[in-house]
Amino acid sequence: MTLRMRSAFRKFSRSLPALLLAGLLGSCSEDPTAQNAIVAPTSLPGVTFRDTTIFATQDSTFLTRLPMNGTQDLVGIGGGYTAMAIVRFYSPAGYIDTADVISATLQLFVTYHQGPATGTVSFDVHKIVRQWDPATIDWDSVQSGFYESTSALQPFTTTVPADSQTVTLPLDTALARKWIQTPDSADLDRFGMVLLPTSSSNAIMGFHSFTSDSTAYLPTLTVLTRGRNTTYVDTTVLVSGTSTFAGDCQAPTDQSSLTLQAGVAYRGWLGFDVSFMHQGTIINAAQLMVDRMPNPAFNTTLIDTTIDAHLVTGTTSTTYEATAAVLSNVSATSTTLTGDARHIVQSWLHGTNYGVLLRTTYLSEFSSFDRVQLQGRRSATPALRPRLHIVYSIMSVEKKP
Amino acid sequence: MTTNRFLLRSLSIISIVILVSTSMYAGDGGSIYSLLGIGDLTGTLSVRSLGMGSTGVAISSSSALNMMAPATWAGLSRTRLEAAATYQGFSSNDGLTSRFIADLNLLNAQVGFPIAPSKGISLVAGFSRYSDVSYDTYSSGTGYTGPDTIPYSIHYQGTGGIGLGQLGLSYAPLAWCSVGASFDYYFGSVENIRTLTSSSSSYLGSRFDRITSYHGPGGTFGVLFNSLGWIAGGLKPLAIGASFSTRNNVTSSAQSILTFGSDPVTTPTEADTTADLSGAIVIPITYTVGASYAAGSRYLVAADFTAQLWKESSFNGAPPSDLGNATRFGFGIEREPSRETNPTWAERVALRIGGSFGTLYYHPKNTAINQWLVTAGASLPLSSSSRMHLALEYGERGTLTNGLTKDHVFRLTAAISVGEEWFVQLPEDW
Repeated sequence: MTLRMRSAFRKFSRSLPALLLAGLLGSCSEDPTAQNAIVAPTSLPGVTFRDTTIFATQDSTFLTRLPMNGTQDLVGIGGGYTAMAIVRFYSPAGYIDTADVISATLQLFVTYHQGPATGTVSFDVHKIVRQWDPATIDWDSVQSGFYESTSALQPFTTTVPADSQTVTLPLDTALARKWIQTPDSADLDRFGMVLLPTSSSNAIMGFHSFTSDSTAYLPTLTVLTRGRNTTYVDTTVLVSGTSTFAGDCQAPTDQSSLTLQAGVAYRGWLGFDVSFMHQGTIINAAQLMVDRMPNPAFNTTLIDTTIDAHLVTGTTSTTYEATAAVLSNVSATSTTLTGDARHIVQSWLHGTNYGVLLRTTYLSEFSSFDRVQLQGRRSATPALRPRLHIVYSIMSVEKKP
Repeated sequence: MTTNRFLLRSLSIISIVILVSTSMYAGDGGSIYSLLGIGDLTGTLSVRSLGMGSTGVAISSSSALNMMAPATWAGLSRTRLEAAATYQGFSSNDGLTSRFIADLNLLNAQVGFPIAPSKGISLVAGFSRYSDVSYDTYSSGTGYTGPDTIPYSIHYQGTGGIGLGQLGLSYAPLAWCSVGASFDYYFGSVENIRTLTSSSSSYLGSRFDRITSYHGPGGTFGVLFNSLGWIAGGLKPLAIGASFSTRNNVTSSAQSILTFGSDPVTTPTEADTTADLSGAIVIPITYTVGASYAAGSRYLVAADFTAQLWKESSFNGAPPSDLGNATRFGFGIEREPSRETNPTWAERVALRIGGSFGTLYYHPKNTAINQWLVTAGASLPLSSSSRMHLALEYGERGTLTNGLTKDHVFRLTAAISVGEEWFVQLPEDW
């Protein structure tokens, strides 16, 4: 009996882990669902949904000089706008030191225009006299000491061609020669040229820059050279370089509107008071809505314009999140632009509310003179003022510490 | 056995217990009642006590460590290392739905050193799982805004609990009387998660993940009269004991992590973390009184009464809602191992049965949650001084009235208790 019991206990001890494991596996239960969960023995923190429309309590239009460096460059004067194009060609792979430049022509591929349909663009070509960087240069930085005061070309005048057409103009051969020969130690003659509009212009012309996504439409410099003591003529074509433009205009001073102006640029800022919501409030939906005023006569391309709304992250409106809520037309006939601002409003609740920055879309702002004028917070039509429609929910406070 | 072999074996056993406990923890669950208060109070009882209906304050033992009764440590004759894990299952029924939920957790781990056994001086340190939060439930509804309706559901989950670290001493000034005390330290964290989702893709969901950490000191004191023979000869088999845990202020620090998005759990698009919110809870006085009676050479009968005054508690300065005083009356019988010379292995096995009845500290909707348990246990000798303690508990708690839940409870607790002669003063002529 004793031996039998000992044996039985040993068997029990050995099989205990297996029994436990079997019991555990057998007892595994699937996770509960909303349908089969056991009801809590006390009232749990619930949720309350609310929706509201709030209007901007602050707004402003402000000038922020920006380096353009976009996919198209502008030149011309018209409608209160001024744009000078800044172009530099890189030297050819092999310097040409023992040849005379017979001719040099610049070809530009037109992509854009503003102004009268048969508007005129007229500009001089001035030699740039100092180093520059398209990523930093703006209107203010080209106002003095940037280019020679005398033009290297008689004013070039053209009727703005249709998009995808070209404009070809002769350049000063002495200037072009500096660009293809071995540079001097200071590289003083190779900073490029400014296409400076003259007062004869009444339109703005845009052309593909060196950052255009199509290599077929890059600015092209064709230089014909003839070797000394020979009659042979060589053609050198340069299509690489760097370019940008610097633009300026006066934005409307109308206090009842906001102006978003590309190419300079002017931007808008809106402030909303969301202090009635607390940290932890869930922004289930938020639509930022603004209404466009009639297009200014000089701007003809804005019917499809979208604008970007950025979360401002600092005390100045120049610090903002890179990602944007895109506000687009509700319909072809509506003046209302709307976009999803959940992230922006949610961020205001869990951080400091610095408002929202409005700007023309990224590509437009650096490559055009597009302008969007919006109803401001002082608009004569209250329903069209900048506004936010918010659906939010509030979780009850937990009882536990 | 050398000290190194003892250490190696002990650590291996403890590692296995911890590993199994933690690995099996995922995907499990506990009682829905654990969303109240600080969760299910698992107590600091030894596995031996659990098998005897949660008694033990008046039982001195050399083969088990009872952390709720410091005075009982005076009976320690060998260095003892003990670790226990509990598998528990709840078959819950709220009148509409039934579910079986189970989990496996480390219950406690402790070590006791008999510094001077002749004077009952023992040093004991250990960790116990004091409370256990493990719930998982839902609510649903529809939100109404001006232009729209928003169907939603909220998923409530809670995990974690409070642990209790103890370091204490026992002392027996008289052969029939011992006292003990421990410094206690409460620590741990509880994570409460609420996940709001809407079936409408037009509306973002959110997840509130609130992590509350707790820490604070306390103390436990005990006294044991292990024989009342000094009063009358007939009372020699009778022992009485008591223990008392102080009212403790446990500070809490809560931080909420908020995430938002169409699927706030897997692909949150926004996140926010709130500043720490400090608070405090008061763990109230706990006292236990009990008696045991040695009936013959092999039988021991014990009864304990325990009360914890949760009505005197507070949560962040406010009286606790849904909580009330907890009481428990337990009784048990143990058939002790044979003390004969060269007993068989079976005769060295201790067997126990018992039961308990009481009121838990949960009082939802002004309804007392009562619990009864029947228990059984055994201590299986692994060597001359090492044991595997087992305890089985089965019972019922709760009610279906007032929209509450009834739980059928099943627990299997196993402990490895290893004894070895460390720090024991040997007789000079030995």
